[in-house]
Amino acid sequence: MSVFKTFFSITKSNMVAILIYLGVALAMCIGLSLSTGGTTYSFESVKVKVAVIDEDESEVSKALVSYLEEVEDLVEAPADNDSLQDALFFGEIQYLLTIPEGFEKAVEKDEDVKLNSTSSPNSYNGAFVDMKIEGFINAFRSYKALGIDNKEALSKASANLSKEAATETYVPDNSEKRSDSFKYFFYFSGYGIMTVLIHCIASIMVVFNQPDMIKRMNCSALSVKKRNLYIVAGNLIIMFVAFILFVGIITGFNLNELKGNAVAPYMFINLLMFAIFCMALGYFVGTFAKHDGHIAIFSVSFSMILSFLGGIFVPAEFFTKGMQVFSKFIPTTWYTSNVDMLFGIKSMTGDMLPDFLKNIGVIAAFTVAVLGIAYSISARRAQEAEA
Amino acid sequence: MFWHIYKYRVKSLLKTKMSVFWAFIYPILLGTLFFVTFGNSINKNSIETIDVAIVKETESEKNDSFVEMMEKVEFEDGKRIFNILNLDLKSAEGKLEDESIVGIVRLGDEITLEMGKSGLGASILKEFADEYTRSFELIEDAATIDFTRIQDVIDVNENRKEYVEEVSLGGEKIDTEAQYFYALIGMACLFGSFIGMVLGKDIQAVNSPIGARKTVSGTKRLTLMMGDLAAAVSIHFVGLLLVVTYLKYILKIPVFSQPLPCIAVVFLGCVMGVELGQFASCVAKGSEGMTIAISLAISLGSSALSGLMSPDLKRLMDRVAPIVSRLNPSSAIADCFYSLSIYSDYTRFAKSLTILAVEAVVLVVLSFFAVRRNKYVSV
Repeated sequence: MSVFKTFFSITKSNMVAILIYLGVALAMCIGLSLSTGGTTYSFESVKVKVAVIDEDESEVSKALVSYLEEVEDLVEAPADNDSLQDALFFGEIQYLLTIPEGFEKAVEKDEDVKLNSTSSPNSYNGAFVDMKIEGFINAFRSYKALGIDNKEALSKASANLSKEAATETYVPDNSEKRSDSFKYFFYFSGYGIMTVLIHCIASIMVVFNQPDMIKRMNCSALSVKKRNLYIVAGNLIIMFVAFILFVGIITGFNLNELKGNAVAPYMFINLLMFAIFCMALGYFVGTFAKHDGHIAIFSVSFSMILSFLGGIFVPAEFFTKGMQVFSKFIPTTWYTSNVDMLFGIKSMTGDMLPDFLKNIGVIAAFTVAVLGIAYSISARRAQEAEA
Repeated sequence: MFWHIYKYRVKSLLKTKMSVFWAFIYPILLGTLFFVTFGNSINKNSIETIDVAIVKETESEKNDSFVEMMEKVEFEDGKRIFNILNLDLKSAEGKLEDESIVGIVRLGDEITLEMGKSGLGASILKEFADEYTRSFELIEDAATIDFTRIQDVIDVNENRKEYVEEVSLGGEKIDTEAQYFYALIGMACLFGSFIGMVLGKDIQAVNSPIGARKTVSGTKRLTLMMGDLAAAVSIHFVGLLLVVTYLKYILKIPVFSQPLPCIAVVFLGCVMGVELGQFASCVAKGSEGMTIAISLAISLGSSALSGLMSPDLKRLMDRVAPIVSRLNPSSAIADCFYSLSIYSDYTRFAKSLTILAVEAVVLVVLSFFAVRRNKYVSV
């Protein structure tokens, strides 16, 4: 029992640091998850923030601006170049169009005229806006070829541009519309729980793995078996507390998504299994780290590398083919596979259950492997301490 | 005295494994990880051919013409845009469900698209189908208005002009993946805080025997601090230059387009990072664990907000809390690199660099005042 008490007194002495790590992990999880958007099974066009500088002020240029106001998100263009650059740089304007003087006359006479466009540095929707503008002008030219006046040609061009191919969204039978941020909460919780558990558990295990501590414990009346049992129990409690905290955050921000969600228990089981793996990783780091600096090195490295390679920060579909194969050796990949599989479905089916259990099994196998290596290191250390 | 302190601090830091890891190894490790994860996509400009299923429900000239156009259209590099699979509806829906195709085109009396999730391929398919529908409707409408001039309308449609010309307000476009590398350099600069923590520990008598010896020595506190700071920044700076050289010349990432301004950014970033750690160590009166926690919290948090893990978070911060985003040191470093890559004048760059310089100076001053007149009754 004294080992158990010692476990928590070490936790208490590191409480401020633990709370800082927990706070950062939770904040990053919430921030990263909320910053993503979109809804599953909904194909939607994205409206671009467009600003227009109309130097022509003609019937045709005004009609073009009205059309852009309908199909995009029209915003006001700042007056000076510096403010324009800032607005483009920070995404307040994603597309800037300048209509030169003499535009209407040039289009009527079928002369060459260029409209200058500038896209925001990290926006790739500019090409679609270009297509819409050119579509408008060419539709106007087409109707003008019939010999009708500008007003009628513009009216018919606008009417033509409102037509589009009928589009339906395919929604599989066993599927449910869900907000993407719900999925990302589980993704980033994986990163958060890994960071917190590696730090917390490693910082406690570092104390227990000190040679003097091992010698003192070996001299005590407590059997090795009981000692290890208390240490495992302590680790499990820490893991469970972290798990509950992250479940609380996910629940707090996604109450609507969780109501009536039949697969939510499976998603939490997946997170729990991953938390157990992270606990094992923390135990592993604690066996060879000597002090807090070492723990920081390993926890940051492991959590970043496993998160990137597992598809938490960058979806695995963007990996090269070779990396997609290599990522199968990363436990985080199996965690994110389960999240992807469960997200957006109504209920667990007989076909999906074996795949779910297989992924859980792989994470369990990684856990056992990591614990095995950690145990052999600590057993050798105990022998060296006895010698 | 300054150079004496500088020389021995450099020697001592080079023997500290933690300093070497954070300054040299970790940024190279993460840079390599980014590179192998994204592949060589940073140097590619092409979009892959889009897999689409076609389900023919009725035979008509309009539908045949649509399929013919889909087969012919190409990207600028000559690669076909669409890879067409002729399937029945059930098979097509199966492929859409497992995301092997981006959409289904049902050719009945009308062209109907069945789309799965949003994405670039789906957007291109939608735009293509919409454009075809509009062209067809336009010709039909024109025929009802004045059939005698229908050939003029067809000629205009077939000889479409390009009216929009992309210009910059002063620079070039930037690859989205480059953002990760800029945020990585920002994070690597801030991880100099681990080196700064060693300095903070070694100047305070309560924290280390070296601190006690320094406190009782006759050397001015400012000289001690500046010597240590210069040594730490030198090591961290050399480490980061090695990292940037590795990214630019071995991994061929398009960073450091203008060497001199970029070197200035990296230098200030190093000062910022080292001082952050020293300041945290001087101010946080606790164990080494807590100081590491504070440094890590600030460095990781700052890096996350600058778009290291998700560019969406940076955009959200720019929208929701622009002041925080501007003052975030990691964002300021990334913005400096952005500005140099995108804009031909240095206004934007100068603003971000000034923010970084002011923050670094403020931290140096605050660290100095935190340890300046520390006296100890007992250590």
